[in-house]
Amino acid sequence: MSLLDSLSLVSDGSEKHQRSNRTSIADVARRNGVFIGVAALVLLNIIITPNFLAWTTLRLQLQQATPLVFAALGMALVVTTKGIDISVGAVMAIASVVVGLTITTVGWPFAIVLALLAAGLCGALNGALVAYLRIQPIVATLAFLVGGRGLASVLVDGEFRTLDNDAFALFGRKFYTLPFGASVPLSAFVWVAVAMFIAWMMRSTPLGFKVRAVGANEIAARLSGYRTKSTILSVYVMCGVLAGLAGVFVTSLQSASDATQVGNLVELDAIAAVVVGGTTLRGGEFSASRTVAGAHFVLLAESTLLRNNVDTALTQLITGLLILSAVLLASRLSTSSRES
Amino acid sequence: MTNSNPGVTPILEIASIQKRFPGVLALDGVDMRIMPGEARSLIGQNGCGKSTLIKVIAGVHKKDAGSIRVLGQEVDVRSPSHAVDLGISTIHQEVNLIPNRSVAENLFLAREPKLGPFIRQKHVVSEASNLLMQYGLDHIDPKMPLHRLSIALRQMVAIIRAVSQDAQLVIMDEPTSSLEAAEVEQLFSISRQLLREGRSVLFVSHRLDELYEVCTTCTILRDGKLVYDGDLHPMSKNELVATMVGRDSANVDEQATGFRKRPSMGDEPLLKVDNLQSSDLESGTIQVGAGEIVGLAGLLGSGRTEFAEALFGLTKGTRGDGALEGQEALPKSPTEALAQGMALVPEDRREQGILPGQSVRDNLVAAIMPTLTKRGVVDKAEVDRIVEKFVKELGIKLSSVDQPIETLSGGNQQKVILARCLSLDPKILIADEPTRGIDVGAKFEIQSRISDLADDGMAVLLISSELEELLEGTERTVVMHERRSVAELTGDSLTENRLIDMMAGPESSTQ
Amino acid sequence: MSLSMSSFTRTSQSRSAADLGQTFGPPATLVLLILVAGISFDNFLGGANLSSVAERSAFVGIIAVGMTYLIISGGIDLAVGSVAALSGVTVARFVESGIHPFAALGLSIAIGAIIGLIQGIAVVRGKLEPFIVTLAGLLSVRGLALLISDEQNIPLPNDGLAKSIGSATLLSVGGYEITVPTLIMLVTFAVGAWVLRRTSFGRSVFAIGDDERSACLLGVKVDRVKLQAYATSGALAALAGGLLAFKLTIGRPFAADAYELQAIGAVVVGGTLLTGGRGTVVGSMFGTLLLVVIQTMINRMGLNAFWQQLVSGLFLLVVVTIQTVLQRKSD
Repeated sequence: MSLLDSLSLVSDGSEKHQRSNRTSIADVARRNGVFIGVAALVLLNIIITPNFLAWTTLRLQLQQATPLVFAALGMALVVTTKGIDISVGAVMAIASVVVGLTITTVGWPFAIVLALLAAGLCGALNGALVAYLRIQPIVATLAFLVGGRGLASVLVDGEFRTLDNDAFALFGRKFYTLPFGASVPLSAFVWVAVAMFIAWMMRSTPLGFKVRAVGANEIAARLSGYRTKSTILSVYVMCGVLAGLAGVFVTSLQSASDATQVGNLVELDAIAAVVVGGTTLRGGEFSASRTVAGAHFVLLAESTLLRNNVDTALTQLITGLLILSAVLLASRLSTSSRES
Repeated sequence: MTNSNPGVTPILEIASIQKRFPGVLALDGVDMRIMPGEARSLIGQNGCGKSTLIKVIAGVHKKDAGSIRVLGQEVDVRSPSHAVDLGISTIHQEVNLIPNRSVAENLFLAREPKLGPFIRQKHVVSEASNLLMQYGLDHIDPKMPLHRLSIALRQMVAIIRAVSQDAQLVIMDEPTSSLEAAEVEQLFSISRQLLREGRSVLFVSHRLDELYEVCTTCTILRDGKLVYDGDLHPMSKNELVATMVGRDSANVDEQATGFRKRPSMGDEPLLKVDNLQSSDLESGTIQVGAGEIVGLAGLLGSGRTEFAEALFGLTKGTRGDGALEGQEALPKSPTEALAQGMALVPEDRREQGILPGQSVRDNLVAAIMPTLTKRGVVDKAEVDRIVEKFVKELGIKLSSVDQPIETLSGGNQQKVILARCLSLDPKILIADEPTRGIDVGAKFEIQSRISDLADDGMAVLLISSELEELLEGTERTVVMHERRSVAELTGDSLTENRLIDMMAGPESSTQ
Repeated sequence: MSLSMSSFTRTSQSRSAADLGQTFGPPATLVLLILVAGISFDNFLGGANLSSVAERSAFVGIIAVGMTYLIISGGIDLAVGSVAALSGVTVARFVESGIHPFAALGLSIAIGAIIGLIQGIAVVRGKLEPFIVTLAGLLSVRGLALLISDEQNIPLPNDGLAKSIGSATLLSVGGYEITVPTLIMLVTFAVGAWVLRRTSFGRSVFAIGDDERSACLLGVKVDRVKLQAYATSGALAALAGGLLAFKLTIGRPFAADAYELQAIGAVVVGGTLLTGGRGTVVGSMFGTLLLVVIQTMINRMGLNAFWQQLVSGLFLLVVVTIQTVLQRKSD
């Protein structure tokens, strides 16, 4: 009967009481669980993984996280508006192909710009379907998931194109050596900067504010004078651009543009990262730091298993179950904080 | 068991029912007894708990305390299907049928005649035809998808489904709200037929005239409590309304009002509309001048809120003359409305007002935020200044402006929503039930704040279901009935009795 | 006792454009495409080609039946491809260990049903989004398939009964052949359509997808019906995966890749609304065939698989947009 209870709660005249302490503890757990999880995985690795603390291992971890961090941040923005974008992997492929097609003629800086523009356009298409045609987000982006990679492949005839551009390759491969033997990849600075920028945008600009408001209560946002459709559209555009950035990075790292493999199944990891980060799918909530931590958790979980010679099969099985338990835990914690 | 009619077991007997929702005691010790062949009416203001009571009886909600006896047996109604098994069938307030399925399927869903695992399709259709014919709806094709029927006919289908379940008690929650006169008459004859068969009816309606047609006894709830239990016919319609709104007792004096009597200002109207129409509004006419508080009264379903929504640009396809001062036409969207200096405190705080999960600060500045920027960045100092100003001005009680809005009491939530509107410095404020469901202190504060605003020259349109509020707070009140504005009461004619008369329907205002 | 006609004015006997498009759009498009293809390409209408189209539709088609139930009820199952792969692997393992092929298939179907049931329980009891639950299922069940197969292809016998289950021709008229998978697909569609239209389960599926709360108030046992739908989807995915393994004479852990997208695509193209409450199994059959025919045509044009993807995506986009626009007009 809880379904009916929750659906038909009297809304008029209800006076919400103060939340009890117990529930705010649940809320704190939901919000910070991912950091504890990442810390636990790091600790576990220090104990069981040989040479985990070596800079070569750490910097690899930071470098490999780059595309997922971008994709997960974009996904988190969309999820904030109660949406979802399952086409991020396909958009990454399109960005990769655009770089491959244009880099020799326009040079790498413009190639990156063009790739991001193309990716933003893909996002705009998704966003228009969701905001203006009111198609469910999962359906709207499904078409692009199916067709987008096809489009990318068709553009280059499915070829794996090696790029011969050292400057462009640096974006993915460059490491900076810092004092005390520390070595940090350039890409890590980029994703930290992007995450900080998005965190700032969501906190300090009217747009970030509107995105959260639309996700929290679209009617109230409309009554507050927001043009909710354009807000939703802009979120999908941002998600597209971020997916494009992820695609550009992968292309740079492998010095090759590739329509078939770049971003394959990234959408699943990105959704997992957002959910593991404790962000509710009910919308209205955004945290860049938790999303980044969620992405690292997903990757660390996978690499921990792989580094310790657990085979890919078991790794995939365990990762799947881990995501499910994280979702279950998050939903339990947020339900208990709502019900009492 | 106390039985007024010895030897006859009541079909339903409930005692001391309690039901609590987060933060509100929706039912507080309600008793009711329904005898075979009895037609009982259940009435009360919006939010008095009557729908909750029905949902508890129908197995939708679980009671927190109290007992329910069906034919003398104490039962725990586990689910809607269990209620049907117990002989209680319910027509809920909104039509609860499956819109895309056929009429026949809707009549027999979850109780289809079957042959082994398979539904006897032809049987379902012919049975449905029979039922439709029996109730005079033989012009409906039972194979037609339900959503092609008018709302009224869908309601009739729901009624037929409910009464064809061989229930001993049929509960009808606002069954006539979407019916026209002929269908209402039909419903009455169905009800009388049920009563003749010794079955019982529990009837909820805000159209008081209808109650006299069918019912003999009456239960009145106010704020989740039983305030009247007895025969219906000795009560006049005005007495019913007075009991519902709680105007006859000593608590009139307890309810301190924050409104002050203010002189009526005869200024040029800031807002003037004539015969405004929309899909939910047949005709709305109103004028609100600067420095004036104009009331909008009406019973549940009278079109008050729909009128406000049409004014605010929320409803598509509104027609009629009207504009804000200095504007060509009414706003087409809330964005335009706010830009033209109109603000709305919505009726349903939870569904339309608050941004759940967001901080008090963010909720308060939601409307004005886009303008509080320096070079595209939110000016945090300015935001804090505005938040601080309104928290102080409206006396919003909180521990921190960073706490989530849901952790405030209802009254303080409402003050935040009001502050959100006032932060835009509107010329016209539409306040839809601004004091519903909040404590007396906050109510007083909000009322006196609204008086202040009018003193400062704001035009206020106050929508309320509390007569007290309208009588104390407004100089002029427009009354809505059946989705039309039917009267405007001012000065000496703005009295409690006149209001009650007009809300009950202009044609019945002879008493 | 008759009613005023005024209340009847909104009742029209004619069916709305959305309904008509939903019912007749897919078969009409299919016929049109086949005609165009028949004119444009040699031997397109010949037995060899059409038989192969039918057989290639079989595996996704069988999965699409379960998917149709779920989507109509407002759910979704992303794990079907993984379940099919797992089933192929378990079938091969069972046969390898000397179990009769039929028993091997039966056991694998039972495993698929159990996986579906577990997902259903997570959705119903855990109150989680079907999308997320089955996403986790997609990952972990594929992992399970890899684990059981040791990431290797497991051979199945290339003769005898096992081979026959996958590819025996049952009926051949003038080169038009019906193989075992084709027949099973047709039977699944027929039974699936029958169950949806003629059983309480089918009625409940529609009612839940249309308005879950009303369905519950009307006495539909919502939780039980949902569990049944997820179990059915798992079982049918396992059936398809097992048949695929017999046909390829190999249990491949990477088989049935992206079948979930193809099945969802087929269901949507077949006129079932992803918002739930409306749809038909027969439509899903046309949707499956449509997608395969489009792929075949693109193939015949000398274009590669990438074009197939692109065109399938565009087609899906067009169908969904038309559906949404028609729907909005009729509401």
